Amino acid sequence: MLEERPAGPDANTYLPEMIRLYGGLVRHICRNALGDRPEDIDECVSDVFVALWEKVRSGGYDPDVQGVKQYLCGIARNKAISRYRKVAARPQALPLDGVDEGAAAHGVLAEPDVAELLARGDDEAMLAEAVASLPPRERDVFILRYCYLERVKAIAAKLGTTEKSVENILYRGKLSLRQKLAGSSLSKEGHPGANYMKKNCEVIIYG
Amino acid sequence: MDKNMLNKKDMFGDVALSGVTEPDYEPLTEQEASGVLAATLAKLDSDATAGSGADTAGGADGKSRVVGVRSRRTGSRGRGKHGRRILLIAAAVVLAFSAVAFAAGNIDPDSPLLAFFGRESGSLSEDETKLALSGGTVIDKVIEKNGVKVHVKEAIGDRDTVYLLVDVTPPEDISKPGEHYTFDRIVLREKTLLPGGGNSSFSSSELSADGTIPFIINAGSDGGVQGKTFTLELHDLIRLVDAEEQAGKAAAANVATDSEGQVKAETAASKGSEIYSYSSSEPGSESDGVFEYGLVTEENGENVEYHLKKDADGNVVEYTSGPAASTEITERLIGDDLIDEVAVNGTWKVTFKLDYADNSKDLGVNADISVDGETYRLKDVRVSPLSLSYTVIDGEPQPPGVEADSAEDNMKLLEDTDLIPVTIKFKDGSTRDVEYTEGSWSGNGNEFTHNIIFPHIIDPAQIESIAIGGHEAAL
Repeated sequence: MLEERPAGPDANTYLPEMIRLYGGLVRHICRNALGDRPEDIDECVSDVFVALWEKVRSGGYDPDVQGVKQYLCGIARNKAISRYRKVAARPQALPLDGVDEGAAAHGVLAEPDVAELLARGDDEAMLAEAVASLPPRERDVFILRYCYLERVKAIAAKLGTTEKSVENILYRGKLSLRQKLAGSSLSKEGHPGANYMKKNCEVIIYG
Repeated sequence: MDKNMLNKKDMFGDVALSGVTEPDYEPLTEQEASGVLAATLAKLDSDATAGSGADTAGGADGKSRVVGVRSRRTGSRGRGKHGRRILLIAAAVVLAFSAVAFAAGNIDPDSPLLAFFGRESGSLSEDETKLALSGGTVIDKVIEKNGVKVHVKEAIGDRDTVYLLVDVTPPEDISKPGEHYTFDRIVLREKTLLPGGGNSSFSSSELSADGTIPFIINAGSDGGVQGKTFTLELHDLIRLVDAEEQAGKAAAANVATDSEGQVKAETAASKGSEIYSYSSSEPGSESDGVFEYGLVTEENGENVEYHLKKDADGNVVEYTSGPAASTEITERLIGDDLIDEVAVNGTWKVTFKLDYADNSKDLGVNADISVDGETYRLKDVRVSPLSLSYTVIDGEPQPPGVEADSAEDNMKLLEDTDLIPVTIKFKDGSTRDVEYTEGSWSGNGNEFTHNIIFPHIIDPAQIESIAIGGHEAAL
């Protein structure tokens, strides 16, 4: 049986509703990150809702402060990337037959600037401000790419533009972010994530 | 709830709230939503039980992670180059004490399972055999469906890992000895989908003269497997067919060997079979007639990276592998580009209990170790005749009930895990170094556990100590 906080929501009613409302979006993000790994996707999706419930139960998430959809998207992105890294960190676990094609996390993690940004959680507020200050078009592309882990092709289709245009926007957005964050801890060389990303991406290439 | 307020901890919160940027996605069907709910509740339930031993949800320590499930071919043929990669999902830690019966009896001394544990030296000694059998059990559960007989014969394991011997007999009229088979998917469940899950390789096995295909399936969980009841699911029997043979043509392949004449890498002349792990084309390009690329092949069950350079005729003219490799092109072989075809559709499920003795020994270590300038805590070490595992923590252990931090916050630790030296010292003075690539890592927040499966059974009584990251733990 699940322990409930006094006056808190009941997992048996709260979770079904959350899954009904947002399960598809969560799965979409997990799939973007994990590619053709259906079991990992399933595991990741349930991990996301486990994390949500535990945050709700412990009081770590306050729905009066933040919308649950955005909160879930953040959990989903982090869980999916985390799982993708774990999979990628085990060379023997990678498919050698191209099944892994196009996992968006690879693309995201392969971009050192963004990889470093995503690797840290303690400067998120600063990053949020920097992202919010981007021009709307850049901001949208940036969010689709790095929050929802959408592929460049999908972003181009959604926004009615070309992949090249999306790539250019992402490039400009990263430059802009880098300038905004210059001097912050996020832009320092030797960030803990840098070497890991490099190694991780090398593994992925061979996968 | 107010969905229009920005939480500053959400890096994309304000933009996402604009409602402009949201991807197109398919909502879950009712059935899919039910599946997600069941898996979620099961994890919460299992976390509660695993974490505290009590019936509460507050003990979620995430320890019930399956760290690796793999199947190895038991036949003698070649590399796992074309092995299928699968995800195996095993079960939650919460157990119903099911009344599943299992047959009593002894494991056959000629069992492929025993041979598997003696593969490093060719066979097990009498003492080693006794040691292996002490952690084994006969399961003897059979299911027959769609003309395919699945016989889960026996298991040998320890607290956290188990090896299953499964004989699969396909219909005689569609199969012949020497063919290689695998399954499209293998799932191992305990009550419901496992939290964590695990990736590993799954190679094929060869149909023997007696008409059976012997599979050895390895499953592990740092939440423990011994004494628990699992259901093994095998989905769609797959036959591996040689594409070149099927096409009626043989393609020449280039084989690079090292200075001792050992085949280190090979590529078929046809592009389709050589690019199973293509990477770069630097410094030249294929169109230039000379190009380089990297690949990963498999030797002794491990992935090995190679770099090759080929000339305009497709001959390997240079290759490197590791620091000491040299190149010598000596011969051409036939390519073996294998493709899959479904031999028999279906799902075969067998439920059994892993009722064997656990011969694991806990060393109870709690000491600091230094790795690449960082200090981590070596939390515990466990060794059994089959495996060694240890857990490393960056910082303080996570209290029960606290959601693990994302592994992103612990990347330095993750990065350093492959730098931790591990050496087993035996009482006779010999030592054995353990490579980080042996076994698998599982992570939970700031904790990472390395599970190493020995290529040959080891008697813990013969171990003097185990040195991990400079700390020597005596048995």
